[in-house]
Amino acid sequence: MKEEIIIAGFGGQGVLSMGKILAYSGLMDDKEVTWMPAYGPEQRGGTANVTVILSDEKISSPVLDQYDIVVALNQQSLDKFGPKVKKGGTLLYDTNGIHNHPKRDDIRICPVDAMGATLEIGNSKAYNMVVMGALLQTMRYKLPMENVVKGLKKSLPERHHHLIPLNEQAIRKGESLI
Amino acid sequence: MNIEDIIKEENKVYSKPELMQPVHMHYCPGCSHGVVHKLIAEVIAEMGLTEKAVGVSPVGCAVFAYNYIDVDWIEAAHGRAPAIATAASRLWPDNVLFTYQGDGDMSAIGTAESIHAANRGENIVMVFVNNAIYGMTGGQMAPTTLLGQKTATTPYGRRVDLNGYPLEITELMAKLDGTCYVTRQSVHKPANVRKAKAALKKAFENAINKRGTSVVEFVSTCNSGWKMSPEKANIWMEENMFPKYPLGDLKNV
Amino acid sequence: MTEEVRLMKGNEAIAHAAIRYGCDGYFGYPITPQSEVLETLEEEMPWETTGMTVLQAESELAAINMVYGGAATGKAVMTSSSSPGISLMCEGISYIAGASLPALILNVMRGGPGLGTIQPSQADYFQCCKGGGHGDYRMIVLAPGSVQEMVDFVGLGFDLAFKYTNPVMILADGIVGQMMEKVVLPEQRPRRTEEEIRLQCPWACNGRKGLRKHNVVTSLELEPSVMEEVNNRLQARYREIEENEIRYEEIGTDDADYLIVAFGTIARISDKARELAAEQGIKVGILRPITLWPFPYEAIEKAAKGKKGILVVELNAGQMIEDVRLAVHDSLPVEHFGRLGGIIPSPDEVVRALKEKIVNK
Repeated sequence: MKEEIIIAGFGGQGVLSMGKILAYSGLMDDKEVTWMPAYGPEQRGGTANVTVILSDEKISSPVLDQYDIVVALNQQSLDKFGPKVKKGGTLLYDTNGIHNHPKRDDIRICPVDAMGATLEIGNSKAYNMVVMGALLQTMRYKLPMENVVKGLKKSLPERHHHLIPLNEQAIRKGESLI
Repeated sequence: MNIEDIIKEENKVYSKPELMQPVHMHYCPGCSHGVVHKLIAEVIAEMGLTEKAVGVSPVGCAVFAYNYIDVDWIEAAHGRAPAIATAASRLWPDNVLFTYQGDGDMSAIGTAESIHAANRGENIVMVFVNNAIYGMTGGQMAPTTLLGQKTATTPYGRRVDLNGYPLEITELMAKLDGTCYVTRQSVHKPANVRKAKAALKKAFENAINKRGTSVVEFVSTCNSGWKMSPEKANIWMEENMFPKYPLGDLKNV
Repeated sequence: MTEEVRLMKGNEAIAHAAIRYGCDGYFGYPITPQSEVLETLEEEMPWETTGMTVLQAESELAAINMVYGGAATGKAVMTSSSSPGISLMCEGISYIAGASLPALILNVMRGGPGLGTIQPSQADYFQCCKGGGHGDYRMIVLAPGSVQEMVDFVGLGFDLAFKYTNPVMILADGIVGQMMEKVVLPEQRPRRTEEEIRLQCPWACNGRKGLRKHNVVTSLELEPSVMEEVNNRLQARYREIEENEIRYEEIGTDDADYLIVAFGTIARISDKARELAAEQGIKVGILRPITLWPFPYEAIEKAAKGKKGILVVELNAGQMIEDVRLAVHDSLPVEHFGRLGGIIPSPDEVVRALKEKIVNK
């Protein structure tokens, strides 16, 4: 099995680090993983995206045309990557600031109010982990929370390890949105 | 005194330094390089550094220094000797690295490497032979060529408006915190040779004791390039080079 | 340190691999997109653990000459840079080759010419495989396609460098430098002792221990007949490398109608294109040269037998294609597809190019 995911949003939303935590969680679950940041002209204009591939087998291209799951955190990303969800795939997006909602009927569409949920937690820095929770719910690979926590530990510097319980709480909150 | 008496050990007044290879040198008669080589060979042997000394030879007249002094030598690309010595010294901290650089090497093409190695305070000895001309390539201008001095590329004399000023690279080196000893010597008279040898010894001691970079400049003649007899070249050096490049220690900490 | 599974960028992986290999020294100058190599080394402080020397040089010129100096003493030394920096290093690489010294050089390619772009590229194929510096020299060039290969090629690169006393380059595109993948880091190897180095490298300039005959490391020889002999010895060594060290990977070439030849990450993108093409009924095989010099001419000639055409996919305007054409002697159509501005072609684009330039032609 293989799961090809892209996470796209504004720079500063924690897109790259969320991808990194996801990749680490996959690694802790014995998967092959590739984390590929937007390393092309699309990096410009304040948007950020990262492709994360989890697989049971060796991964070929780190660059993809179509994805099993697209996570879009702004309108621009939704417009760009929404059409690139594979048939039967999943489009997960934060409804905040979205005026043009996707209309495809050949995919699963999961609008979530991640920003709202984050405000309920009361720490805006937990935003990407709320999204992460929702993403984990939509994935075919079911990554156990203990491996996600291991992934968090691996990808966060020691000095931020006291934030792991908050992150875990945010992930659970995100999971409840789906 | 017959020949048998002369060769008796107790009558010996001079012998070839043990580290000088028994080969003919390619240097022109009157050139300072031969004397500087001899001093380096003597100092290394007398200090017991034969097994630890590694030289880095330059591009220029002294490119074949490795044929004359019997220690390990790494031949550098033009100007890069201090970078080579940096790595060789850091990777073998018990060894003593010295570079042998001409005025093109030290003050033109290799200025960056020379200044940065000295500024890092590499525990090396930088021997700098300054004869104010590019000898090997046929007598072109060096950064240290004096104003008015005629060379193949300043046939009417060096002009400020065309060629800028003579570069006082040794003064620059003395300003760097990484240098512990910066001195200017010559080898044109016996007394100077003795002083120069003491200076070299101090420089090698500094390297052994990890005190930072030592720079020993030799204000030298190039009678071929200057188109003078060796004797006249020595006089010309005293009259013209020494006022611009005065002998003595610039820094000794 | 024991074997360890980690997630890391190719550039970081190089630093860890160097430490674990028992590398003696790294000398480099920052340039995007590979500065993480030096940064990671400085963060890891290997001088406290393995005793490895790490130094930020004042320029790429100084860095490669520090490598020359370290290699001349018999130590296992390396540097890393990106295209414009490699241009500066070419002088030093020529001297390293001329003096027959072992050294490892990583080039994480960015786009050119000139200052170009910091985005990925493969446009240094000519420079690195055909010369770059002056004189009749060759450098073993390894092209990694994954972060794991970045790790593996540090060890392989040093081993080959010492086996043939010749410079070795890891020629990576910016993609493999910047992406993170799962890697298995090898067990820590001890650095060689000074005695071991003296034994392994009797030619090295590390002091006349035991008053042995003095050593000279040089590339200079003014006597024409001796210089010719030196060059003949180098050429004989290059033939030996061509004989022994060609490496490549083939995926599905046996029952394919078409062949894609690509190196580095582009070969992996092409592999995905192979899957997509198969869904459309087009059977493509991939041949990925791993050593770009020595180049797998015979393997390509063999793989091309019975094929209808070859597409060479590169992040440049067509460089490796010249070698592919040499390999197949005009026996079938060979076309090129590349992007030049730092844009990475997607698998779909590769399939489209294959159809347009080869299949439907």
